Amino acid sequence: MNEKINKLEEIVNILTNKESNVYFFTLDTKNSPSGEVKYTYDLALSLFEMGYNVTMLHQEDEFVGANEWLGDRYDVLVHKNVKEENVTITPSDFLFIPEVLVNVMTQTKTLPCKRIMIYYNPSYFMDYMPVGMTLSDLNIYDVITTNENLQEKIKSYFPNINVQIVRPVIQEFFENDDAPKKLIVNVITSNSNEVNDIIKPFYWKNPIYKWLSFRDLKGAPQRVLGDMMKEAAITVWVDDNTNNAQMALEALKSGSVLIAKVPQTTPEWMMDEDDWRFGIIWVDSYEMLHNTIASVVRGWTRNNILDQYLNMSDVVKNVFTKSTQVADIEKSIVKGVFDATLNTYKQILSAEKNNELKIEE
Amino acid sequence: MKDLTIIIPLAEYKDEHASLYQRSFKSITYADTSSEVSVIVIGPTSAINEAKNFDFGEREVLFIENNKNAELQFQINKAVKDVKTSYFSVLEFDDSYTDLWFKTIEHYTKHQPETTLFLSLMEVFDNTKPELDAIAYANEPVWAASFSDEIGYLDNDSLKNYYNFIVSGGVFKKSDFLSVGGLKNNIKVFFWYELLLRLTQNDKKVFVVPKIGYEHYVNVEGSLSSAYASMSHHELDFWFKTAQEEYLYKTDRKKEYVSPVTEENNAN
Repeated sequence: MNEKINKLEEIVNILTNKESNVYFFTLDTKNSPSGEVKYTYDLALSLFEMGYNVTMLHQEDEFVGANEWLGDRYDVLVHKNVKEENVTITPSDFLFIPEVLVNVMTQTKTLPCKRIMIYYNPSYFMDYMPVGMTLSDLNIYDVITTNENLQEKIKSYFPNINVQIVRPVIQEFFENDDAPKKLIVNVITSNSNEVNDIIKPFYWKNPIYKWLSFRDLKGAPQRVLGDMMKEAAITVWVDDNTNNAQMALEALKSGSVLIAKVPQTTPEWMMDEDDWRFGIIWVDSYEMLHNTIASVVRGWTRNNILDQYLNMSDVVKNVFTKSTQVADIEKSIVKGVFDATLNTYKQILSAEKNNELKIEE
Repeated sequence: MKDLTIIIPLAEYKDEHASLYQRSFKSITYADTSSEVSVIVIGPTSAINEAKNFDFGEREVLFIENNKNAELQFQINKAVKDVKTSYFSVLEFDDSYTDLWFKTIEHYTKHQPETTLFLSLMEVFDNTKPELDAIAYANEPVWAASFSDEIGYLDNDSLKNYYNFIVSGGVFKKSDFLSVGGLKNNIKVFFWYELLLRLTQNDKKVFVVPKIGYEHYVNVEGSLSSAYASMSHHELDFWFKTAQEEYLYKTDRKKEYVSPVTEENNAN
């Protein structure tokens, strides 16, 4: 019994002193940019900067990682291959697992640590979660997600799960500057077919604009993406199943006029303030999109674009910043998960001590 | 934009030019709402007398009577000698600037001070049907992704494949214009093209601002370029090839077109 209390006290001390190991399981996209991977690394980096012992875990024999497209600020994060290196997990540790890695959730369900699912992409979760299996079957009772829409969704499936929100962060180099914009139309889509649906019919319908340059932003490293967004006058965004519309927001922060096809679920930040909704040029079909691109190009070349569409970089500059994510992490992870875990162990410790007292009596 | 002079070369005055003068001169007031630019009007006495009737506001205006040579390149070269600002722009009397063009240019000169010539993206209208939308764009190819080495800029190689750039309305850095030798009086028709080749050959930067700054009207009777409309295909071809040869030389070498008919007669 003393041994059990001693172990519980040790766990409580580690948790109290922020000496836990915080592990993040990550995919290896072989340097191909991924919103989910970025989100995972941003959480990890923020916690590292807040003083936690953070380690990225993977199970790739030839791990390439994400530093090339994410940037070298993430070089501080230690990486370990669980297949080759010894990783000891204790009850005072925390393990974050992206929703796509259901196999990892299954393999780790008997680990003594607190495991938290990162719920970023609902379609991955649908694809990989077996029929009939629940999160509690996997011993997962905590979820971190990016917005209220996703929070409501996952809670509707699993009402007894603790779901906390940590908003994504957009790097500070997605910003506007005073330099004149170039007449380039950036295109942001979720797949290549959509790029063709935008560009090819546009040229067929508008031969007078056969010279206009479109640029597909898919796959660009973050810094390069920042430069490309900053220099382009106009951005077209099509993503029916978006969760956060992060790239749309990056375009707005960079000072680009945004033409957006209305998605199936509109991200919260777009609905929060009237300015934000009315500062975007909305279309509801590809036909309307083609005509709108032509109108916007003509208007832009004639300095006839309304200020509400040109000034969005000022309006959205405080959305998804590093400081908002840190505040969310403090609330949702540190207090919502770490401190909650600490309190649980304190209660268990207290109960054990009371039991021992009763036995002694 | 203070550091800018507008040069307006005129042809012999005709009554039908009155409305063109109004449209073009007035456009300066819309493009330059701060009344900061200077103006040089150059042309035959008949045209100068008419131009003096227009109110240019508080702008500094110099009128130069020139009854010697009405050709565009001669008049521009002559007027440039009196330009006191760092930049100048040529306004053909049958064309017009768009609103706030000079404010746009000022922004670009601030961020691209190394650029020698800022051309304008243009919408081209048919003067016989002004109620219609633009029939084409001009100066637009540089904004196609693979046209030149750097998007937005002309380079010598791309100019060899495409020559149809409209330079009127563009804003020149005077020192660079003079350092490459200015326009060549001996090159007809394609003197702007020859100058562009010479500028880019000498590593001078030519950029097309992706804003509509100038409206160019075609099919205008009595315009300075309308004289070229009657040239034969053979002569046009001669001047085009001459431009492509002469840009390597700073000096304005004497060139004379000889028509095939004259050549045949001489041979006989």
